[in-house]
Amino acid sequence: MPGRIFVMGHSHACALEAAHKRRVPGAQVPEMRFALLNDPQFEPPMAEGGLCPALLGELRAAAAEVHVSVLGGNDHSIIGMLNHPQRFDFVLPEAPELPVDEMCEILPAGLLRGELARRVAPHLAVLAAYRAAVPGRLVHIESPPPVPSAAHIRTYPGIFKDMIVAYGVSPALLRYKLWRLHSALYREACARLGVAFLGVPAEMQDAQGMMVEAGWNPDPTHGNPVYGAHVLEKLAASLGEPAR
Amino acid sequence: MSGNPYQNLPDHAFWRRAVAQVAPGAVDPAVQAPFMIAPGDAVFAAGSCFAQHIGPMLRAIQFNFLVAEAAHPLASAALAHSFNYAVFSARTGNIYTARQLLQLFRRAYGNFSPAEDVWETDGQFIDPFRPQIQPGGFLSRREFEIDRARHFAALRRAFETLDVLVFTLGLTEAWRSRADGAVFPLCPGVAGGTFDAARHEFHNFTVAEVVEDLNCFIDELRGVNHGCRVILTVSPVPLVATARADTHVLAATIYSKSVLRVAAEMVAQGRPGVAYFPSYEIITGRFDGGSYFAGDRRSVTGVGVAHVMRVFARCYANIVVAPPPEAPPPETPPPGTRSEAYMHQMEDLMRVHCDEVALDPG
Repeated sequence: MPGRIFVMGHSHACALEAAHKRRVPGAQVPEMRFALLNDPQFEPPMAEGGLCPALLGELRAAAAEVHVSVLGGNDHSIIGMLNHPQRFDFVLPEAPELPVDEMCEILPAGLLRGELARRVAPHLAVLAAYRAAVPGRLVHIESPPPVPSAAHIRTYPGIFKDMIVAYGVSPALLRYKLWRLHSALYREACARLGVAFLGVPAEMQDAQGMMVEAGWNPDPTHGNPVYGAHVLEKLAASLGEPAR
Repeated sequence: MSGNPYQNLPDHAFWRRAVAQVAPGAVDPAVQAPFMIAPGDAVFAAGSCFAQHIGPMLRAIQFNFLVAEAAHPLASAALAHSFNYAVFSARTGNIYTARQLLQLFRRAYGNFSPAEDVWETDGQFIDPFRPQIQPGGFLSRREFEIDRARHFAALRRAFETLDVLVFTLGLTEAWRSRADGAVFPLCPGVAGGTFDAARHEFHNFTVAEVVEDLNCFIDELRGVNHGCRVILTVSPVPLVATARADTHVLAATIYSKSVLRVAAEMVAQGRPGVAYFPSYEIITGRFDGGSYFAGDRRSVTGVGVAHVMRVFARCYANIVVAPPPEAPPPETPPPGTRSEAYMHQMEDLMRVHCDEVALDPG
């Protein structure tokens, strides 16, 4: 594994950072530097079509061999974590056999994809600027799959407590399908930009593709440090392979 | 000196008094409608591309434009429009011919099932009868089938509850299936499917055919909605192309529009509760000095549409309206709705939620 890794992203990067901090320091632990864009010093992350000076400064200071993106990753949750007042479902194009709740309004997948694309566009713009700013390998890490348990989300609602009471947690399958649609947008953007796309570690997904309990953070959407550790392991393994 | 039949005719019967000496924007060829539209009457609009102006026009004069398939509030106005929500009363796409309208009605009620009912290309599924209804087509066969079933259900509800149907006749030229006569809005191969001369044929509908198709449609519509009224119009938009190699597109346009105009007149004259509205005459009458067509001599300008709207509002509701600003229709709910408040709240909370995790990664 390379000696220095720079991670730029939003809140899903926290699972990686927490996992990294818990590692026993040693020769096998790379140096990792994190820039969380939730930090006001990086707001706005773009300037004059490129990364903002603060982020460019971080990049220079890191002098990393490998760059990682955990940009965005929760726009599908905005759309579908809770029951929308006008409930909807859709047929996932890549898995049309998955159940659809026909009691809901069935929206064209392309329409939801278009709406998600509008929402993720600012993150993809940052990813493109990140790509332009760094040479060599840049890896984007897929956002974690949804927590299948509505009970877990109700138990750890965080600031969504009142909205969960008002609207209820949406069906896990809908959240899963939206996550897949969301991931597809990132996967396609990565292919366009020359960024490697690192999918969720298989052992962190249950038979339905959702997050296994060991990875649930005590909140509705994030992975915990265990989840982060598995992502780091998969990242390390991928870095041992030739860049594709 | 004895009189003559023209002496006591009203001003509108005379070109000089009704056209030549009237300000262009005040020419009103509608005279008197055979029925009125009340504020609460549900008005369903369908037809060729000019019919896309009908919905915004009805909204602008505060008529009850019936939208049988509304956009989900998640979609922005632009996205919803690109998926053809509220462009017409239902997601029908353009209905150019009377035969297409009749067949749509029968398909909605399960009385006609075309043999060629879906086109698949590289995982995209195109509805041959509304091939441009959404960008990229349907993304799975299942999505296509669910959407079509819901489209038909929405159409049935609309047909059974509408008070007034406005249908804009667009074309006589059409391509149809040799197998069962199913009429496609666009030639196969243009926006999906593959043209095959063994399976597809050109047909130019005659006056008699258009009259029969309209009469059949009205009869069948009134079979599910006894008291509905129908307004027929003819699109003033010229043919973008004719399939008749021996005919100039201008000649083909005038022929086609003439057939439609005659057929609409015959049906309106022959049926109670059916009216002809002269939007075609307003746009193509040339009393405006040509300002009702854009530079391509085909697209209708906002000024022209506004004139149509003024006459329509006066004719069917005794409403006097000023030319409205050109604005996109409100496909998504106005600010302040429960859905919008929900989305704003989710966006704000998700931002804080993610910030909190970032501040305290654990």
